[in-house]
Amino acid sequence: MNTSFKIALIGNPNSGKTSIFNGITGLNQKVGNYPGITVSKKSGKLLRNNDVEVIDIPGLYDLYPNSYDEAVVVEELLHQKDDLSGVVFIADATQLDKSLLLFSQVVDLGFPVLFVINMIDKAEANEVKIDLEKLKSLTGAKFITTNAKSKESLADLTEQIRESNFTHPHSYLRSYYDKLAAPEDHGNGYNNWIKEVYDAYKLNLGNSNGHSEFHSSSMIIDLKNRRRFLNSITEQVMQKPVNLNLNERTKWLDNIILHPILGGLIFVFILFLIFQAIYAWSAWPMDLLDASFAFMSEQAVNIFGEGILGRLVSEGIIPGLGGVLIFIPQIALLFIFIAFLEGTGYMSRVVFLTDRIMQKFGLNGRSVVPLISGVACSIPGIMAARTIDNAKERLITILVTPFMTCSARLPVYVIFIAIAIPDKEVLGFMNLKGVTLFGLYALGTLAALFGSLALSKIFKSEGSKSLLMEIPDYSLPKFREIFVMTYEKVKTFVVEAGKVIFFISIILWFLASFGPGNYQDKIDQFRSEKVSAGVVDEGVLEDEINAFKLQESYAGKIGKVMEPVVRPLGYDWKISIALLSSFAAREVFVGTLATIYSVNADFSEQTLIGKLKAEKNPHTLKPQFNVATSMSLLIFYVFAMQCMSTLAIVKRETGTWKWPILQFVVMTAIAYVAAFGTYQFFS
Amino acid sequence: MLLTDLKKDQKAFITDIKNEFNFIKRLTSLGIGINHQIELKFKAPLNGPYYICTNNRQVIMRKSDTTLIEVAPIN
Repeated sequence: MNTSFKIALIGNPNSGKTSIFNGITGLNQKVGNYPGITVSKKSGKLLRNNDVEVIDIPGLYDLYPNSYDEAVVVEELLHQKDDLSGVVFIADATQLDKSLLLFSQVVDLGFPVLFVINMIDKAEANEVKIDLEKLKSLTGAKFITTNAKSKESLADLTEQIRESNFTHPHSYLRSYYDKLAAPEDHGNGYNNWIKEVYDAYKLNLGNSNGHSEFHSSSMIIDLKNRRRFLNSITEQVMQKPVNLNLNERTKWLDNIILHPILGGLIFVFILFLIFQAIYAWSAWPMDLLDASFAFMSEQAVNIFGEGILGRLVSEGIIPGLGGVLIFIPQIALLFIFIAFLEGTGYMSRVVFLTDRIMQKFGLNGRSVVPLISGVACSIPGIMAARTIDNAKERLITILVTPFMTCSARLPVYVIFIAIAIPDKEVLGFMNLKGVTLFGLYALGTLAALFGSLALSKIFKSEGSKSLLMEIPDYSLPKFREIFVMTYEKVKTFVVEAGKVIFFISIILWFLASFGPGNYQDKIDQFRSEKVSAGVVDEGVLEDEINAFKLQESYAGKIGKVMEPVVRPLGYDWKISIALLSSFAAREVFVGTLATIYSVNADFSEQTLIGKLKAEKNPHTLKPQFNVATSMSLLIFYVFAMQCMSTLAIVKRETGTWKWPILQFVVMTAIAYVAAFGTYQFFS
Repeated sequence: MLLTDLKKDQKAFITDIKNEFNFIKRLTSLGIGINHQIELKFKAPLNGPYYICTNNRQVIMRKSDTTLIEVAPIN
């Protein structure tokens, strides 16, 4: 069969759908979003057959939405109905009874179906027996059994799809809904009902459960009738041991992992391990990337020359992109850990362990991983929030994650703690600088938690407070799935964040490289004066010229315009420029200060600290970077949203600029007020 | 008695589920209903979620959810 067509994979969560999708499409995948929301929409081409497009529909239990994410998926399914040649319905063999409910709804929508009974090996191991012949006669569906770990069964499934072996099984309640529909809609009665429920759900999102009373009771009647009928089928075709309980491995591990005390300690240890790995293991690839971008910048000058194009590429685009792409190792490592922990079934247990604590702050157990990831970098943290199915809690998690102290804040903290905090011991065994650093991390965490609490009071509820979640058995994840998930996340980060950063880098480079009026003449004159004054050291001369260039550039002029705004915080125009440039990324702040204060080519933290300590306020002739200014800067960076990559990712994850703009404005306002209060207090 | 009142490793049959739409809908979708046998395996600390085994699957639910399920303990 060589005609092009499109099919969809549908099934309950944890039915092994993703493994099958990866197995039948390979890396030939495309990840997009459903319209208006960032539920991943994955599609790919069938292996060795590019004419067959496979869509991976996110796991569902039924077609009646409980969250906005689910509603959008249902809408997409209805929208795709005429384009889909068939549906591959995937069920976990040990959970066949549960899966038949969604199957019956898919059949009533009128889709041709190929029914895959997956994890047949697990069913055999658990002594679950399924009479396929009887199931076929009772449902009218074509069945195929698979074990996603076996290449042979996946090849068989691929062949069945290629041959388009889909059938129309017996319908369940379609005739009932057809009778309720207008005569011209006969055959579409159930589609219309699902559409009606979806439309009403969207209108009622602010209500307690998102559904009207009429729809709620109708849905319950529908589901219970289906369940009753389907139970009679499973009783005839499925045999499983009575009171089948936790498998022995799950039981043994859960006794340890969910232990009231040990469970918490294991969780903390795993987090510690992840942090260590993210910091330690990512160091050398990050250094390598850093060196590669420096090399590319040099090469760009050789290729494009020292003119505007060469400078734009070597000083603007490459460093701009490099400053963000350098985080790829951290992001990849984090997602390798997340994919591994998800694959083992541990992440569901984290929800169990932390839900109560997180609930007190308007979040749920699934928010823990994004928040903790945010300590390495907000970007993977925000992306990890996708696992949160409640739209409100997911949005809150996305909005507060940047309060967590990311690694980019660390250079700023190190410099200003060194300036503001004396080197003395507290309680005889703790260093005051270390205590201050810990305090800044704690402050960021508290800001995230109390920010969540405040947002949970402001945002309208989108669904009930109930948490009902299936917990999978423990299993060893497949390397291939970890690789595919990590690859997909990193690719998304590079493509989506890269596009925005590319343009902002160009703008920032332009502002810092050009100035109003006879800018170049002023620089030439400054150089002549310095040479005449006897400055002969090339490094010192270049540093002084760079500082002058920045002062006279558009960015410098903007810094001077901004100065009255930041003066109440204790900052001058030079700090304004650094603040402005660090909008691109927090760590740029230190680099900009180094340029402004003409730290020579042998840059080190100690040189910069010395320069900053020596800087005098021209009006008071007292140190510019006194305790008050330094503390004010530290507090500013605890709260401020100075990271365009994060804003770009928030835009990508929420599908609108509304949230990143609001996030930027609110966090900057909090940072401003807090820094003002700190400056006034220490003055 | 309510599911909330079950002790660790205690088994029971579900006798009634209070009419809270989202909860009852999700239970039905999961294939959990009246007359199903359940077993409470774990309770999270600080009044956190309950971990329950039923019908060859494990589910967690918040303590507030467990007050919606009436059960009859099996000795």
